[in-house]
Amino acid sequence: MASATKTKGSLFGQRQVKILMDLFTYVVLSVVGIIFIMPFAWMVANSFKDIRGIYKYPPDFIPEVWHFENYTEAWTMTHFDAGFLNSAIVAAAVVLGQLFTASLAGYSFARLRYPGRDKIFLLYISLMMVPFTVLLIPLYVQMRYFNWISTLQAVIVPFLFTPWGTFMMRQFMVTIPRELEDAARIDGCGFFRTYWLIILPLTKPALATLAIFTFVNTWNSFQWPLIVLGKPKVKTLPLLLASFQNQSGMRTPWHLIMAAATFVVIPVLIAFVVGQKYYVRGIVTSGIKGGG
Amino acid sequence: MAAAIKARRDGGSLWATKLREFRRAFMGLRREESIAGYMFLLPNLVGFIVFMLFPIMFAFYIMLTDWSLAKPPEFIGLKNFDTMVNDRLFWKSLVNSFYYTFVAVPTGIFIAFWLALALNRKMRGIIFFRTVYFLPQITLTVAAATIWRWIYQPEIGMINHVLDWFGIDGPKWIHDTKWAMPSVIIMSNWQGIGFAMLILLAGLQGIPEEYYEAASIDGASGWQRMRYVTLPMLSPAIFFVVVTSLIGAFQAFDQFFVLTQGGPADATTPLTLYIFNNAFKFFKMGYGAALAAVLFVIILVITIIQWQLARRWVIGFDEDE
Amino acid sequence: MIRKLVLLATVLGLVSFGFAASAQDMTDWTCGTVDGDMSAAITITGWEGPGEVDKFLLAFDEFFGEYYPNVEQILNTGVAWTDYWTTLPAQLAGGAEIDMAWMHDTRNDTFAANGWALNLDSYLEACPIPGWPEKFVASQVDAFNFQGSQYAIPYDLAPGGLYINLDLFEAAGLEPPNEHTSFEEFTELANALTQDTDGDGETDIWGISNLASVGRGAGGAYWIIKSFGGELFNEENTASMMDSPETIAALQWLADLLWDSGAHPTADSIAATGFTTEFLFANGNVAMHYALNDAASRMWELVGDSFNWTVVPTPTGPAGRYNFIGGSAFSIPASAAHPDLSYELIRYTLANPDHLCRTAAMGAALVSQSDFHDCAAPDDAPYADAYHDVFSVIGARDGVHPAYHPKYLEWETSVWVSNMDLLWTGEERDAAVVVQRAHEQTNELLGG
Repeated sequence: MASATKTKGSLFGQRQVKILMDLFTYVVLSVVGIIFIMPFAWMVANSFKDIRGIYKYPPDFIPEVWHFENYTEAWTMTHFDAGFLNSAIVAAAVVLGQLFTASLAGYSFARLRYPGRDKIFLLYISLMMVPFTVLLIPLYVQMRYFNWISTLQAVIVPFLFTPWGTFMMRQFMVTIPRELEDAARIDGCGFFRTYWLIILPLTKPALATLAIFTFVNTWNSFQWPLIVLGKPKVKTLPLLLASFQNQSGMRTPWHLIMAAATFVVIPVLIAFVVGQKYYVRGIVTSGIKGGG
Repeated sequence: MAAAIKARRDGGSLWATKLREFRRAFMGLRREESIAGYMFLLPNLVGFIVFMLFPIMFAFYIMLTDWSLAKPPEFIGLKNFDTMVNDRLFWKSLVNSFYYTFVAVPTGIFIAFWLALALNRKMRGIIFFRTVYFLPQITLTVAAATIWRWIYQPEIGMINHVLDWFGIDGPKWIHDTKWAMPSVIIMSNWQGIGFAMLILLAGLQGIPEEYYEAASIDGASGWQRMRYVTLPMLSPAIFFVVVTSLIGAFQAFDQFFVLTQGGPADATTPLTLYIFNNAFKFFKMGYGAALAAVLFVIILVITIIQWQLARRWVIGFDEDE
Repeated sequence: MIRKLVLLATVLGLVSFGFAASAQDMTDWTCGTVDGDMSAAITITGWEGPGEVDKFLLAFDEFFGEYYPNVEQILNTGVAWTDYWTTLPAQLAGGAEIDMAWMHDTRNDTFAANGWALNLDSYLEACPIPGWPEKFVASQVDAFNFQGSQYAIPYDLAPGGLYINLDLFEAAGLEPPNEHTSFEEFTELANALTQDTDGDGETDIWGISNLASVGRGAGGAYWIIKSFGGELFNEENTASMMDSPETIAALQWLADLLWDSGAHPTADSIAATGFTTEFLFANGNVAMHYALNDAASRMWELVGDSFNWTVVPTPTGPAGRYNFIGGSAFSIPASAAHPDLSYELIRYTLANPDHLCRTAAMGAALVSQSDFHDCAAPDDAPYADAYHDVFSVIGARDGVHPAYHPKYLEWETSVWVSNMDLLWTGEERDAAVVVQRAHEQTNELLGG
């Protein structure tokens, strides 16, 4: 197999080519990566400064004195433990809900044949196009009608359904070789069993992607929770984080905000790295002839 | 009279076709599949009807009114759309939205594509690099905007500092009406590329290894493998990224809000920011909703065009039905 | 020391006054319309966060603890400024019951005109606030008055002044300006203080900063326009007065500081860090920095021992002396579930002499009752005496702000910023050009 890919007359063997390519990739990724990592690193660096260090101009990248106590101070200043719990409940519920509804609908759009399918699909996509600004107030009215103001339902239930995620799941499911499904169907699997046993395991990277996106968006979600979650005990992390701020011109403890922002990010980072586990190519396609 | 009969007949025949279609769908082999199809959609559909239908219908009503939020909306028909014609800020923000979208999206996807290819390689520490490119997504927006303002600072900022090494006198970036939009585009691509990269990466991961092996056995070169395996197999993911990025770009708001607040001199006020200002700053919710309707139609038209084009290059379109 | 004595005398005077007046009605801070045993939840929302809101929270707790022990407070404070002005309207439009809300002078007329804020006239009549209105700074009482009715009770005032780097003045052998300094003299000072210390062709020390920047509203320039004898709108706020030679001269003066003499850092220098505009001054790069009084406590923290500094009044123009003044207030939304209770709470918080000195000393702002301004700056602050003169006396006396009519916010965004930004980016350096365009657009907006 190795010899099959080796180009005739090449000076290097496949191994050497791979090493060179890897080296090149590392260099490019590192150089570009610096730009990507900098603001994050700067946020973390600022989280260890005192307020004077933050305002220093031109700024120091590395703090002169490391103020580790910013973290304990930021944690106790607002009730972050309760906020963590609220955020975790909301994120878990929305992620699981979206994975379920989006993968079901995605399968339906990608694989099943029925009248009006593509029109319903386009209608779905169009739901993404309505600017949220004009939906804020009616949705708020609706939440009031359901008596959900200042409850976590208000930030969970309306967001269990996702046109974006459905679209994505559909796009990934159409690339799954049909032969697999047909084989399952011939073996007597119903549609739901086919979806559950064949399709879902094959779309792990896509499910992981959707889970990561939904988690990040829900975890960082700000505008809507701010409007519906009035009571302190139901507030999510971004709301607590924002409550540090004072009117412009007043004293805002930016060093504490940076510290809080840093530990708020940790669960997202963990989710991302865990999600990467599912970015593996081990699709069981033995017995299927390739060729697109 | 004749026209009415014709209309009814046409309508009738349309219904007859639909009915035939349905009857065919719900009989025989396809029946089970059709039922399953609708059942799978059901959880999603119910959610949308409950949580989107009312707000959207409300927004459609509001665009026909004069509503200051506090007093009840007053019905004024299509007057809001009439106002738009002579509203210089509407036209300016419309142009800004197009400018932003059609520069930010192609450049962003192009970079994300190559990044995804690089990050798809089997190498040590690749998860570290993937995380690095994802970090902008999870960096506190205020922190990100602050450092970008610093990067763009004309005298001592990073970009102009580097340009200076090459003897280039850099522009004033966010403080210049001509350079402000490119500044926003660079920052928002920096922030958004991680998402596009991740989706394309997931798409690449989903291409069965066997396809490449088969292509290699057939003696395909690297370019041919890209042309005949990677691109077609990735086309649904690329299509997804293109469609959602365009929608996302027309709806972009945060990056403008934090970096430039729409300035200087409205140079970076897109339609979304103008809608927001009308709704919550000027308390012209009716006009805001009318602007939102325009934005909606623009995005819809562009998406439909892509839909039509997709039949030519994306797999999984119109293969049956 | 003298300050302490003055303070003591003031407090003694007030206490005795309080005793005299409290004999029959001042001890009870309720108005008699709310049942003391009522159990309810009162919702309060505001933009101030930790450090600024605490002084009020103390007063709230005392009030409810004393008079309404069964009332639960639902506090939604620390809603960041820009978010606050989205959240509050959305909630009010959606029918939320908010009992008390922070209000800003720039928004008062809009909220009043739209029927969102409760008209407080009948409350003020039925259960007067002690010291109202004579002990409150007049400009602030007026700022929350719309068409002859009061819609909010001011809790602070924020006048503008100049923060002075005394070391830079000393090194240049110059005297800091005072309230009689003319704009010409001021310009000369600013130019004389501007230097390129390392000779690389770039300015390192600016004479004056923060008078203008991209995206800034009209409040920052209005006092200069007034000082030159100009105006923005006519009396009824139905037409523009911007095309007067005085208004143009005032804005040209500002533009020249940036682009002609270079004594003022350009917008990009001011905005180089996203956190604040004060870092240039705090780092010793600016001789005179324009800012409101609330910057003082932060300056104290930021500058530390780096250099000596003080505050002085802004200069006097050909048409007289004016400085910017802004401020905030407590309002009761029209949809409040417990407006009577909110009113009592506001009355207690803003007028009870027992805690006003404490309130004045906490946080960065000056309280709206002038009798308590002496409590404002910490006794050990080196700038304390100057702070008192510049902000509490002169600043409160000469304070002006643009007419915040119901269309003001739209005007500020779509006319003022839209045109003036070109002056601050240097793309247009002739004030007459941008003013003429702004003048026409203003007439279109206000007339239409």
